[in-house]
Amino acid sequence: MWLVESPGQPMTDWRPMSDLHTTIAGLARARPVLELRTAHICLLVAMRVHTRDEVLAELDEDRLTDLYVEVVEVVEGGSRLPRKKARHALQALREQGLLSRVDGAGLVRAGDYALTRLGAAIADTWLEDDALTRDSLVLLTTMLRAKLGTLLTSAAGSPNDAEWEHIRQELRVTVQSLVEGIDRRRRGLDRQQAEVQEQISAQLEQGWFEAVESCERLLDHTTGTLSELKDVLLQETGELLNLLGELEALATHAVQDDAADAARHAQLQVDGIAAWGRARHEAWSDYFSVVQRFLREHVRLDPQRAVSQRLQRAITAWPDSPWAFAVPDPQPYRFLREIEVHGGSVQVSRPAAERERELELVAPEDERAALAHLVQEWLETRTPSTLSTALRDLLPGQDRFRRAGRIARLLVDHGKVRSERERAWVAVDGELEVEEWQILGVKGP
Amino acid sequence: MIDRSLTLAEAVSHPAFAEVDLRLREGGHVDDRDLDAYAFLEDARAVLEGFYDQYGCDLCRSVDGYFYLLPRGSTLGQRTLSAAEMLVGQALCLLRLDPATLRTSGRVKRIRVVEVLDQLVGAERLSKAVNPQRRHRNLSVEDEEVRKAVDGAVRSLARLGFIEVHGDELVLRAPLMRFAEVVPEADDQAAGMQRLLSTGSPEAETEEL
Repeated sequence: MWLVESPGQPMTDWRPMSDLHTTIAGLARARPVLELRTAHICLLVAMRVHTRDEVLAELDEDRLTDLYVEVVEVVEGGSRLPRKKARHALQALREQGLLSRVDGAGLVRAGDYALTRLGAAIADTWLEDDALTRDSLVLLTTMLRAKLGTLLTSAAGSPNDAEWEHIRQELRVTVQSLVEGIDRRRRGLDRQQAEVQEQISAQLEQGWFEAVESCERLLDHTTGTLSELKDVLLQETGELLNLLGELEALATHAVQDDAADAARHAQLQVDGIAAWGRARHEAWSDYFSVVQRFLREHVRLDPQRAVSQRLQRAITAWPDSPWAFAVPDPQPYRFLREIEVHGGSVQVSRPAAERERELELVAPEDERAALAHLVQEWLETRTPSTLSTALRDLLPGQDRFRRAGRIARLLVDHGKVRSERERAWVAVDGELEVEEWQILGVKGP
Repeated sequence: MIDRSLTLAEAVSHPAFAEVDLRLREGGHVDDRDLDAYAFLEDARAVLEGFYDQYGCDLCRSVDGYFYLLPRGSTLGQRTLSAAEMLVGQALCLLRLDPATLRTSGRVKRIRVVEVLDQLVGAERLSKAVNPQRRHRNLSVEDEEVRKAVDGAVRSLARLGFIEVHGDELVLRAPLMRFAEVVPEADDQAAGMQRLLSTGSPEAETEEL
């Protein structure tokens, strides 16, 4: 069965493919559309930043309008009728489900607005994540370890069903939020690494040999950070997994399936973080060795970039100065085919059989004489007439085409025939047309 | 891993020998991405140089860290790379020396090769270079021919161990530097060509490396 990640669900909540089809069909019926201008996205980000540290993450309409005016001032350098445009922008964001009114006062007064989950996600995408550092990682994992220790103590004290439910909830909410904290910071670290790679390429592009030392410093710094993180991750996640494993065992022993599932789910999340740490370290190691080799073999040995320049000149010179180098090109072995000698030639034969048919005695048949007799009779009895009538009278349908010529010849031989200079073509039947003659009677002696 | 003091008999009976030998005879290059084969050649180099000398070939080890056979005569058979192979090889070598390629750890899109050649040689001269006997003047036909020639050259260079092809991505390997090692300088082109034709290797291109 194919499993897919379901939108709107936690990362490890998997649904079968048939559910996905239902979800997609429902979405297609609703026809959702997102159309965002730069000012809209900036407003979402500004709102997110303004409400990040608030107890209630909401803004009233006036503050929101002021915020939009401020954003437009920065983005577009001001605008005519900014407050009117702000109303349109807020309306567009509400219609697309990015902003929701949260006060419930209806028409009575201007409302309070908060970002929806979708709006917050869009804003977060453009906000810088904190990068994962050794300190932040240790802090997060220590908090998680302390929380798990407390839960483990509770679970070991023979809790009742309500207490197990509390443990399950704690496990789900606490672990989830701490794992999300690590997850957000690791995205920040990924972005930092990408920036370092960009910087190294840009510095080499610009300075070549002069950039070697700064590139090496950048490489060493990032490599050190990653190695530290990998060590901490491996050590800390190992301990977290042990604690979660114990918790799962206790829940299973107490036949608390939901709590055991929550512990397993948390283990998967922690395992995922450890796997990310290993993969990121390996990827960086590859990059590290490629850059080190590049610096050693190409930059340090060729400080003037002479090789690249020569190559460019050589390519530009084609096809006026073609040149090429040689490589071995072995001829394939030739296997001569053996001549196959078969035994003597094969006799072709078939069983003996009587091939002569027995002769039959049949009455003599003179078709020409019989036809001449028929024509003579017709001339004596049916003339004057025409050739087409003669053909229809004298022959049945299937023989008419085959014998028409012969009958015409007999009519000319035995009868008086006249034809116009311009003879009309007359249909005898569906398949045959003839030039019409007049048959006047029997030819005299 | 075999001992450095091995005899020819030990080298030939080594498990890696058959595959490495076939690759070298087919014009292939062996670099340290293929660690077993590379280590074998490093260790057996002294005896294999004499071995391939019997076939009229030099077993060469480049300073950039790869092995290949350089034919001196026709005992094993030899061929020179086609214009398309040389142009594509040089363009790939240039891309390998480009710091921008570091961002992708030495991987480039196939389309970048055509872009570099188009930029440096120009469509018209490129078409003339890869197909000197061309008759068509239809631009779309010529473009198609150039694309086909580049694709064919990429396949051929992959067979020779210069690159690896992963779908639309090309992994640039160390042997590509052979295209840079043998670039004749403008003043020395005629002499370089003469050497290339007579020996298969221009020896004069070492002054800046």
